[in-house]
Amino acid sequence: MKSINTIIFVFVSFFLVSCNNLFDFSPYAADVDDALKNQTKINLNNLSGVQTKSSELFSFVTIADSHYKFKELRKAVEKINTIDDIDFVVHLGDMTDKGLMMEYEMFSKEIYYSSIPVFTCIGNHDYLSNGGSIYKQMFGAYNYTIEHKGIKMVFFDATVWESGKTPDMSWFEKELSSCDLPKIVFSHIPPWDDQYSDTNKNKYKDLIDTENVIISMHGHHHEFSDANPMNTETTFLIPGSIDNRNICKMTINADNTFIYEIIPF
Amino acid sequence: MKRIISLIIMVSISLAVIAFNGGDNFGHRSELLPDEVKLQFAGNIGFLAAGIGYETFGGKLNSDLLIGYLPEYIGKAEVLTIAQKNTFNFRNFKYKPIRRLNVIAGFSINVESGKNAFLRLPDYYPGGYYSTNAITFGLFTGLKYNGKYSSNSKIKQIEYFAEVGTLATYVYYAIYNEDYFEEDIYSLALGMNLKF
Repeated sequence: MKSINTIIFVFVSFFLVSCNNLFDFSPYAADVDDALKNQTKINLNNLSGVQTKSSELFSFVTIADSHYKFKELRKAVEKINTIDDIDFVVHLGDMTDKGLMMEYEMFSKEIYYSSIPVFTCIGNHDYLSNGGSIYKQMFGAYNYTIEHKGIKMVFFDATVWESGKTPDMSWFEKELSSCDLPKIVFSHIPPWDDQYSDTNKNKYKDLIDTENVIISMHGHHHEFSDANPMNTETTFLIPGSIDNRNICKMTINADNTFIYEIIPF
Repeated sequence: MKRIISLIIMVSISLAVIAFNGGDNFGHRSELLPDEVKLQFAGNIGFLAAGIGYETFGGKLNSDLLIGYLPEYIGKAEVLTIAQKNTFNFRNFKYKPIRRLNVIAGFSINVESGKNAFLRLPDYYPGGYYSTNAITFGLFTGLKYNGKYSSNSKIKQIEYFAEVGTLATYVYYAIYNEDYFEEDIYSLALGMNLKF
């Protein structure tokens, strides 16, 4: 027993002096470190050519539904860093599993390794616990837009059950109809999901077919899909979760057509 | 409220089992009277937590029921946690200068009160959509300093403890992600037991 005491004493002493987070009050706490705040704004500033309105081509990569799979996320980022002709990365939501601060911090540390800007959609898992509050501090608004090389990208939060609110379809309509630029929509939950009301499903369908939307990209469903269950003119694409060990590279052509490539990592 | 009542019943049953197994150790005092009041700072159960507990198995196990509170101005979210904490006391050191020290280790079952998490899925979710995110399991080890015992005083002894702890969820993440998990999953808790 004496030797067990001594061993444990040594271990305890070691941990006492090596803890970085001296005190953790709750896994549900939402006090975001200042160094991790406002990442959307910072990435927007880092996005090269954000002000240009030319019709040159650009490419980007999407990843989705990484949850607590930080090992796979790191490998995806490492793969992304080897592709030299992409302008930015979009995470299509569910970057955490339980919406805990620990998960958000780990996600931020992993995407820090990316050599290009990373933009995010909030997912249903990201709202759990106090995740909605953490997301807002760490990244920024749930709904936002970016204009890049003549394309408007609309990041739309359609989470209902976990957020306790309905999708802001008025905002969505305004952003889609307020300019003639071609648009790409990113939203974690696809519009045919149970979280959408029938009214909002129809609204979504009408808007993307009439407002020059090139493609509508989603997460939530973990398997790859380019099916079109809503019979729209616009293509839907679900690249699939990071569990599939793939990333999706999208290239937007000058004539506003696109091609996508599934790249394994 | 149903959640809290369920929890209290659950904890009462576990306390009854503990009391049954270690009843002889309660001496002349009523078995219903707690042996200690525990106060704790940090340790994933709130900024401050307080509760009552029993000492059983000849002082080898302390079982406490704590209510922890994290105010919004500290955590940017108000969190109320109910924790059932079990501390195993190892034998005292023989070496005289530290003979009042105990090595301690244990686990806790922590339930968030429901403002930030759910025990049971709301009805609008399909079955099995999520598992509960209101329960966490804490693991800890540490050191306890046993203050001087006084049989004449109302508070017969004060024990001070320092613990290094984590949550089972964090341990799972660290194991799953191997070398890629860089977050420090351990943190400290400080506290005291007032023994009656």
